[in-house]
Amino acid sequence: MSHDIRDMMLRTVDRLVAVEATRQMRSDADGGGFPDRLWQAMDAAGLTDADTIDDEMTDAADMQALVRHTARHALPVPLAEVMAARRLLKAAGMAMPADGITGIGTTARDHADGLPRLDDAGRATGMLHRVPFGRHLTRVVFAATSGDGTAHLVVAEAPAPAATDINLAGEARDDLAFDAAPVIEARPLVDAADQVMAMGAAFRAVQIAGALAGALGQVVAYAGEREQFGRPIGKFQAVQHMLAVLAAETAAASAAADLGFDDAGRTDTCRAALAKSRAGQAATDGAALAHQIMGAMGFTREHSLHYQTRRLWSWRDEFGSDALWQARLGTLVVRAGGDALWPMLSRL
Amino acid sequence: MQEFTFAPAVMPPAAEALRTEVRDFLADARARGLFTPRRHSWSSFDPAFSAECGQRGFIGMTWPKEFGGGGRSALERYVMTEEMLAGGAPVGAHWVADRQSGHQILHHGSERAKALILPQICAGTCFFGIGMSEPDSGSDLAAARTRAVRVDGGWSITGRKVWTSNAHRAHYLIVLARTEQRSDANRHAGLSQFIVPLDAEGIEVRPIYNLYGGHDFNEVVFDGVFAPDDMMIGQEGSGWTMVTGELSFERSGPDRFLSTVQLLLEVIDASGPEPDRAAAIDIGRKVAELAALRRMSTSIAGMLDRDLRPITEAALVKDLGTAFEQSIPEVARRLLAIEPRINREDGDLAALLGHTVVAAPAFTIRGGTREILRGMIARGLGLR
Repeated sequence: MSHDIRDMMLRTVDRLVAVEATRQMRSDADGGGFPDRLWQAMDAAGLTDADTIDDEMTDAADMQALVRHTARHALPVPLAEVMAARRLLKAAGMAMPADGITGIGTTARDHADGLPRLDDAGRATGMLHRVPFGRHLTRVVFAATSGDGTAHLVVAEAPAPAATDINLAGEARDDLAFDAAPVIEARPLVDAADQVMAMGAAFRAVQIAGALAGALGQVVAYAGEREQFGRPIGKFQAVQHMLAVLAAETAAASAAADLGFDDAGRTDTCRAALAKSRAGQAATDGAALAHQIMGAMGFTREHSLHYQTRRLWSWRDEFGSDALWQARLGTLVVRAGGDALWPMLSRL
Repeated sequence: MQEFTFAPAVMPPAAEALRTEVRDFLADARARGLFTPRRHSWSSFDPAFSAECGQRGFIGMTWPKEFGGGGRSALERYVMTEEMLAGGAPVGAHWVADRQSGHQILHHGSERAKALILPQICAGTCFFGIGMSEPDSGSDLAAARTRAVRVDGGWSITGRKVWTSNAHRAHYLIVLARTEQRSDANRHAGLSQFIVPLDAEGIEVRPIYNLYGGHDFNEVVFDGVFAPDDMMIGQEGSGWTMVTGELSFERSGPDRFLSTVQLLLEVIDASGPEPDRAAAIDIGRKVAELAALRRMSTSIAGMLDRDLRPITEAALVKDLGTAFEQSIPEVARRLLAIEPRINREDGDLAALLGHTVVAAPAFTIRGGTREILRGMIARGLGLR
């Protein structure tokens, strides 16, 4: 790992933000659009496939730092999704797509009902719900079940959306339907559905940490500038304490997001649950505090705070809400028994 | 704006072997009836257990071997402490001496103080109390009125300390006293620290009973107590800097989020084997909070190991950590159908809950109130 390379990547993001992250770009993307210029600039700067650089030069934590930083700037790009897809494919020993945008998709409600099915000819039939950036994807990685019930990880061409929608932040969240569609590759993989969910959730935790840091930066600056009753509101103890709690929640989200992956960038149900549970909780409390501090300035689209907070409100529920992951984690912990809790935590 | 970062700590290779060693020791101690897990908090005062810890080399682990210490890293010590606390061990007797008093003596004490006291602390036979708070000086430590005046060969201390944990059964206090008149220009100047044996002439210790009806706290009255020059810690007037540095150790350790973990373990077992969704959510939420806290706390241990002074980060961990441990009895009340009890003879779950409910208010006060900590964090954000 080299912190020089990490710093260089983050500075590159800052530079692109200064040039490309205009109000116009954000407004055009807000509602399901795609920021082509920004994405192409990120591509040209080597950021969209930074995770494919030689392992000697960068590590998984660098990639999480990069994703966190794009989320700090609330960039409307599918960087987390393409990295999640590649990590899933790599872990399953599948081929890396060469070009285009490969994202990830899940079925509704924690895969509980109806994974897409794979027939004997290797064709997929089924529905992926609210796929992030679905309409803009070239390919999508998802879990499917073959006729004999074996779980598979699948990569397939993304079909035209069966239904289009957006999340609270105006990012595309589209349903993708497969009707006996040929897949590019499928590999048997135990718990494929859980792995896709966990990978998505762990990356959302990283993004939440980033967006909270972005919101914190904005409200700290605002509290130092905005004057009421003859002094900056940041001088009022009540405001200071809200900012302190926001800073603490931001730090906790970051720490939890770090726990979401091991050193090699792998995740599992337990790690993802820890990360998404805590980060989701921080997203709720943090967004509320940021808006309270910003007052009426923050609750319209005139100010930029909403780019972060609308993402926080969506991301906390995507790839499983904090409540869903808390329930899974709690069940896991209770089944293992109290004496197993500390050994589990101290291994992380 | 400063963003607080908690870089992951890199545990030394010896840490995992030590973890196993502590777990084996605790299993053995439980088997011998030395303590009962899930019935204590870490602050339980048990000299016999402390002596065993001393024999095993679990006290003063980071101090030089010439003073009886273990010469190990702060991260190794961290692993030992978190295992002790997670295992429900009664480490309260030697806790303050090991966590902060010995550290201060090692770095700022006289040669005589080091040679006299540190080996006894390491042996688990010498316990300390903290003489910072006073009736009119709690959060506002700089308002301390206890004063030390120069006399032949040392200082004469007169004043009053309160909320002094274990003063009736510890051997020494480190006392924060004014060695100079208070000045409005620099409120933090003129404070010094002294090591004072609790059996010194002129000391009177009076009990202050806690909400449980137990005797942990005391009022300690000093009436012309003599402290020789070589029992001053650090330079005259350096008390404030030392006290605030000491608080990094006091605020970021596992004792700031594991005080009620024994109750959480009981809640986990009582909810099994198939918890309903509401119970699973409550428990999962607490476990995720705990995991994040441990990550931040180990990160600070790593910073302390590198001789950094993460004062604001420590305040942040204490604020989050104590809110966490304070919330556990409420989760227990929601999920367990039992009434808390306060019968001191009864060591069952109801008594553990009862004890925890009435102990909980102290968590967000001792070692720095929530309000003080949030003020410090705001300062760290550049707002003050």
